[in-house]
Amino acid sequence: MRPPAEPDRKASPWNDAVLAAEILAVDPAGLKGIAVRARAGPVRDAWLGRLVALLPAETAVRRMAPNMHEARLLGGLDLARTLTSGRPVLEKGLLVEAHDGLVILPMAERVDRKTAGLIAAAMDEETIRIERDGLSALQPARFALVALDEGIDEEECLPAVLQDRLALHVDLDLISHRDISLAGRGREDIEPVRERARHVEIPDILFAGLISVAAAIVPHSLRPAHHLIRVARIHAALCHRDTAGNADALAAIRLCLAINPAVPDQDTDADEPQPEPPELEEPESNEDAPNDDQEGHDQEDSALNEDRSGKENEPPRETIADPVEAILPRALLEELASRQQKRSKSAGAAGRAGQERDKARRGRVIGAALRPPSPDARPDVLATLRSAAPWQRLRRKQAPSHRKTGRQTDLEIRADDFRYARRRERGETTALFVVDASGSAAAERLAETKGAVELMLAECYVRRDRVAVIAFRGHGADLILPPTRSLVRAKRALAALPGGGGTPLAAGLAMAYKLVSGLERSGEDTITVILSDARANLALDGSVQRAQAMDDALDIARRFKADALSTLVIDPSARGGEQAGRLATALGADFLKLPRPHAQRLSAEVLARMPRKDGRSSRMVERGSVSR
Amino acid sequence: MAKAFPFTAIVGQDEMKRALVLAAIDPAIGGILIFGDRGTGKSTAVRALAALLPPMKAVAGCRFNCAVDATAGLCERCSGHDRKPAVRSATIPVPVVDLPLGATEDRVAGALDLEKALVSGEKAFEPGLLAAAHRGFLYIDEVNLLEDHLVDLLLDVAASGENVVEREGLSVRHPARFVLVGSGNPEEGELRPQLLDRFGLSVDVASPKDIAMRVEVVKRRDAFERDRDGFIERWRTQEARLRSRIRRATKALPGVHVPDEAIATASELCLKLGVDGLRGELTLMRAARAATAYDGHDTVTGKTILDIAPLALGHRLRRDPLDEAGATARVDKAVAELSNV
Repeated sequence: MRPPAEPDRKASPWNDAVLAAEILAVDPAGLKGIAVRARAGPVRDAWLGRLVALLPAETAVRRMAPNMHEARLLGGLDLARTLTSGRPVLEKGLLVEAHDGLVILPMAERVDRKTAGLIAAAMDEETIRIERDGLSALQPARFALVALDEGIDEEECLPAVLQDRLALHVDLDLISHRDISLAGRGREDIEPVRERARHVEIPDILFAGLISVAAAIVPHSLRPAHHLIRVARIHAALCHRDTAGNADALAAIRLCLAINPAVPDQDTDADEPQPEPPELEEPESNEDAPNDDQEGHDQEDSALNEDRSGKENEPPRETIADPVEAILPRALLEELASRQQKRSKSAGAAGRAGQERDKARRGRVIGAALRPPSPDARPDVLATLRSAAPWQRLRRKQAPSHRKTGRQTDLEIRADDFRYARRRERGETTALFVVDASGSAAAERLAETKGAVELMLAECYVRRDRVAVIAFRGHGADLILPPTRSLVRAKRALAALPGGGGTPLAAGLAMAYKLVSGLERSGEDTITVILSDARANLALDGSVQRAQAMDDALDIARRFKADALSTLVIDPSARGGEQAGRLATALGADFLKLPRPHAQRLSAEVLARMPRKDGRSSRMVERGSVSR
Repeated sequence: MAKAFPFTAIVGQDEMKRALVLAAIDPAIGGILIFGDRGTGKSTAVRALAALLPPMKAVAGCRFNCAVDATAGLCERCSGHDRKPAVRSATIPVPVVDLPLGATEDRVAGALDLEKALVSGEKAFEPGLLAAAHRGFLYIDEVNLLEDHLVDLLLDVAASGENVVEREGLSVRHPARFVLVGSGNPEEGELRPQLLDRFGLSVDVASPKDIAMRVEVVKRRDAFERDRDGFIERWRTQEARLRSRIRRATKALPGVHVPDEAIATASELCLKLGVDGLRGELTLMRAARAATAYDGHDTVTGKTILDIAPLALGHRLRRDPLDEAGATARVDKAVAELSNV
């Protein structure tokens, strides 16, 4: 029985999620996988069950943990079999076991950069290359990753390196278990689509339109554009169309970019999944004859070239092709683009919470190293034995004759065999600058902060610490530089800092508190540096009330003290005021007066207060003291 | 492994393609650093290079890719050969070796042959990736995430051109000269200055701003994925053409002359930019010679030097974090000043 061209399903988050599962099932390895924002629960389980049911029965499905040991993921020497058989035997890593199947990754927002990199490399090359422990091997590993993002805040999300590669993105968080329905396609419907999808044509104008949308939302990477094309094709094939049309493009945009073009007060005929006639609706502003696709494309090109915008970091907004306007209103696009930029700024921040520090003494074991992380580190006995085991035969042969009469069970261990546990210590220090960007002296203060940030970051390849900047002025506070170790990123973000306006000190402190307590919760050390004369005049609710403003600020400050968060207040004003001192006391912070603060002095003061790698703080001043 | 996307089919990214071609013509230029955002085709270009390069002659069966006519810089076996019965030569593709994430030092430098040790208790050296990359390229993706001890190893070998392995009573020394190609996203972290300096040329890549160009990139990639063999076949002539050009340039390279004026221009530029004396200028000159050979000329001009400057000097300026202008802007500015003289 042939299913209807478009099953009579209303557009709803659940139905979209099911549609995404169906699309993924058509070409799992080609689409690389799906990012599912969903906390554990019945909805997620139901969805996963649907996905697995759509795949061929014998598909391999493997579940991995975000902190999985490298050797388990990639594979390595199967020690037991090797010793028994006397030949090197390879143990298949999880990614190889999942060849032609699925890898399910729960708590995906917590996966660390290194592991994410390994998975990404495997996805790119579709093979696992093993070059470790004496083994050299190449194994096929074509799989789709189902990344289950359990993040709650906006900052907690997948590492960007994975997010970029996964074609589909869905959000199950807003779906209640009551919305779950059983309607949809089955395994037997998906099977024939695979071949059909390869032959679906996409008209040039629609092709260009999809690329434009991708360029507007994700300007720096071309992968989303590829994903849109693939998904549009598959959607068309699912609906028994030979040529992709607007409905397919819209579905692709919804499912790949996780946005819903449905705007309540706009004309919504474009986004209901009705079966549409295969030819395109011509947008009204396109002057060309509807049949003359090629000419239309050329005209578009010249118009696009003229409109090319100049600034490097801005998405090419003026170059959005006309047909796209018909699909997505410009205003909506701009709003989505800015939301995406905000999201990409903090992408992977939570994943980085677990970043390894190579010399860590505490924390969980994530691998074996050849060199001791610190001079007095103790060897990992098991790993050492593992590395010595394969060579025993060789060594026994070469052992001096008097030793040959020793017991068979004696192990010959050499210095090279020793392995030390590489631990992941959840800890870096993040230095957060909270800068008062109000009033006329703002520009200079900001410039010096920028200088200090850059000086600190230039040291960072050694220290592996991070820097972040919040600026507050006028309307409120902004996180202008999310925690980063990259000098390049800092330069870009701090390139044009706005200043002037009122002093919303409380708003700045509130944002700082949120960021810092999040970091501390994930095990990082932080130090918050507040650069302000603390002459607050804007309260949290926006009213211009000096007393209220200061009260609000002090309230939040006390929370810093209660949580014992490390802080430093620097008063850069030329004339002294006692407000900054009061703020410092409420924070339980060190206090410095630095009229005309220089970048070098600023960075030196902050660095002096950051904990050293051996765990001792190198702070030269007592906590809570005042210095000139 | 899947077949590579053809080098000549890559849309735009002219600076990156140029850097790779120059390094292929004259490996002495040094490594190439490709920095850029995700999804900008960095890895694609390097893997495409492997398929593009003209094959080279090596001693048949030699694990270290030893050159046939050389008398120095050979591995133990090849230099120990009695040279009278002519050494058999084979034509092999230029190696482009990937350093996978998760590689351990023993496989990179080489170590005892595990199989022989297990089966017969024999001690034999199993060459590692550095040996396999000799006279070719070693590619490291995400170079700014590379582990410290591997960085140290690579720096050592790159400096001496030789890899020394001492384990389990084995002592092996073999030549290891290769072009190091690193790619990565600068937003992920900084590279150590010592490592940065090792790279001859550096390129910054970004996704094209022009929609039409983006459409072309996606179209080609799409066509490639739907019919790999057909796509590669369509670009075969272009690939062959570029391959011959590179071959001709490599042959012509020793004949390219560098006049005093060109040397003076290079020195002036380096002085102006405050570049670390020797290495920057040398790289600049070598790259300019390779570019001249590629263009089919036999004398290096000041113009070529200025043209190549951003590639060769861009990463040697990252000294002053307080400097407002980015490195490329500074180089461009200096170049502009010198061209108006």
